[in-house]
Amino acid sequence: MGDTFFTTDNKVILKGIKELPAIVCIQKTAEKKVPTQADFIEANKNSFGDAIGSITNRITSMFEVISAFDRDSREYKELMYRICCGQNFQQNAIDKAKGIQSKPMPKEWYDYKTVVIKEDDIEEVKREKEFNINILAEKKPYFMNYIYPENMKEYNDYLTSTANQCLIDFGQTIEELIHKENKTEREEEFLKYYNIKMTCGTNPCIMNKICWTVEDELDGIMKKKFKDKEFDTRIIKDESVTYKKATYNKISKLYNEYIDRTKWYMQLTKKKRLDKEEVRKQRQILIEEFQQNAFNLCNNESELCNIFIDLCYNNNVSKQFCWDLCSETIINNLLQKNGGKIKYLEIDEEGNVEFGGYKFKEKEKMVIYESEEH
Amino acid sequence: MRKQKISKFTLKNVIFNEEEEAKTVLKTGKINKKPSLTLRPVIKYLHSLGKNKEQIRQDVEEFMSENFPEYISSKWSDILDGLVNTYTKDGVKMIKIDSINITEKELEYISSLNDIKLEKLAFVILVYYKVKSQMSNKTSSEAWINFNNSEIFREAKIRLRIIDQSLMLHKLKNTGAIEISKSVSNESVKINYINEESPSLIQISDFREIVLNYLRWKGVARIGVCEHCAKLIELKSNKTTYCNQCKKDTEKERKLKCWNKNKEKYRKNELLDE
Repeated sequence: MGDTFFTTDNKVILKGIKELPAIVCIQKTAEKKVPTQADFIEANKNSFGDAIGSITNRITSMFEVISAFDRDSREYKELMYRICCGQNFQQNAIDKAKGIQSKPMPKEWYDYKTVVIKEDDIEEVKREKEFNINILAEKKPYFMNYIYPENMKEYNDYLTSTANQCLIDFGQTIEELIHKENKTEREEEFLKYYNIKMTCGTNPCIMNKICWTVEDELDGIMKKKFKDKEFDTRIIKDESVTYKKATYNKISKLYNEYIDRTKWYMQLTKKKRLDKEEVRKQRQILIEEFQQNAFNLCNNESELCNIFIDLCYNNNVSKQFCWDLCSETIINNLLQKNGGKIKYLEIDEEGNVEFGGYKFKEKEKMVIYESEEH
Repeated sequence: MRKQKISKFTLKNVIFNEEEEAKTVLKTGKINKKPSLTLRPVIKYLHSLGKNKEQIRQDVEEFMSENFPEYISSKWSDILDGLVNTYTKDGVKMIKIDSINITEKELEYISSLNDIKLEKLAFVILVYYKVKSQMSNKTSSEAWINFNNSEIFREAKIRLRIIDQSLMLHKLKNTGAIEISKSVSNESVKINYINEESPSLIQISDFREIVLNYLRWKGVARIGVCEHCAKLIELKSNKTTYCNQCKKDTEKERKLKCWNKNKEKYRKNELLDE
């Protein structure tokens, strides 16, 4: 991740550019000294727990909040000012490592507890707090649910529990309640707090709109694509090989253990947002371990492959397990059924298949494969 | 972020006699699929023996390494620390629920709903509340409970889609039997028909098949007891003597006995066929 400097004639990008004055953050300087080891240690310690991430997220939240206001409104202008100041706070967070002390972002900009209206507040203070509550950047925008899985879970749980509560209390769905005319006081109150307590910001900022557009486009696409598609597994099996039910049952038990462990690990990766490379390596270790255990139970590759295919394809479960463990055997089975030939596409200007701006021609090739004698 | 999360009460994770459970677990080394459910009574039991936090932590560490095949100390360290801290706090007591009582007035109210499905639902919600109340050992002027709808309906033996479950609870709410929390996303429900001042008419000490206790009292179904596991069962015919699970198990046992008795004969027949 870094800065980019580029030129473009892309109309979409050019249309979206706002010409604004440059923000110049006056950088504070640290005391000049010849650093000792103690200074290096202190600098390291100071740089731990920097707030750069959370500051940046708060600014993003402000972009979401600002989309609810008119450009001429006081709220809009104040939020634009806060967004500009955000860059200064980001700079301060980076400078923390130099031991430079600086003012943090005011809590009134993002923390509800600091703007709660108290009974003994004077009118002026109450008005100021109301204004700050109105533009408080306390929630992450909706699209960030896709970055933070725990936020997505919280959001989905919130929708489920409020939907349930609305049905039990009012006998209607939330949609029906929103569109209902002549709502009771209780119903109005419910909807008011439903929006206030929403776990994420749902104002129509640009990123939220893009997110919703993509969601609408992909809505139900996985279900439509894979619904009722029956795949003839005989294509990928070695039909000359059979297996005993006892062996199938043992492998099935192993499969269930694999699913449990993979599920647990995938939940951990989402929760802790582990590095993709680490996740890939760990998955590979799990696969190799189960491959070894499976071969201990049944050392005939073709038989094992047929069992995995039946396990995965005859149930509504992921086929990944099957392909992780016996992809080579499956490919061999396919080659055997096709006389060892594969078809592939090669770039050719005379080709009749077009993709990605290129033309391709279908070609055939003989491939050496292992054929087992049964 | 203004968050409010109230955990749902579920009967399936309740251990009615934690001391007995802890002793069994320490003897057999058997750990639940969710280890925290096993460790909770064990930690409380060790604490009741006068052990301090460090000793309990050590004992739990040893127990897990000996009995949990996938145990990795570093991965479980935070979880075990948390469990030990939680269940050794002052005021945390071992749960022992022998039975709960449903009173005459409570049953009268439930019966007055005049709709068998609503009655079954109201009964099960009441039982859940009474169990929860005994576990927490706290007295409160208002009877609030947060439960999983699907679980309650399953216990009440009412099969409905999720939306229809909520609508039935709405119907129950309209009778005045329950109230819904005014706080958004708080699914807690207040029970308005508790009356512990009248005599007890139903005592429940076996928490399997809760709703059959009500149907037996009401006289709307013939209720018996499974000869094998002593669970309440609905007698759909004169021949019913076992619950569904025990029926399957005894049938399996019978087939296995029959096979063992006649296996030589069956094997001879197989060879002849070949």
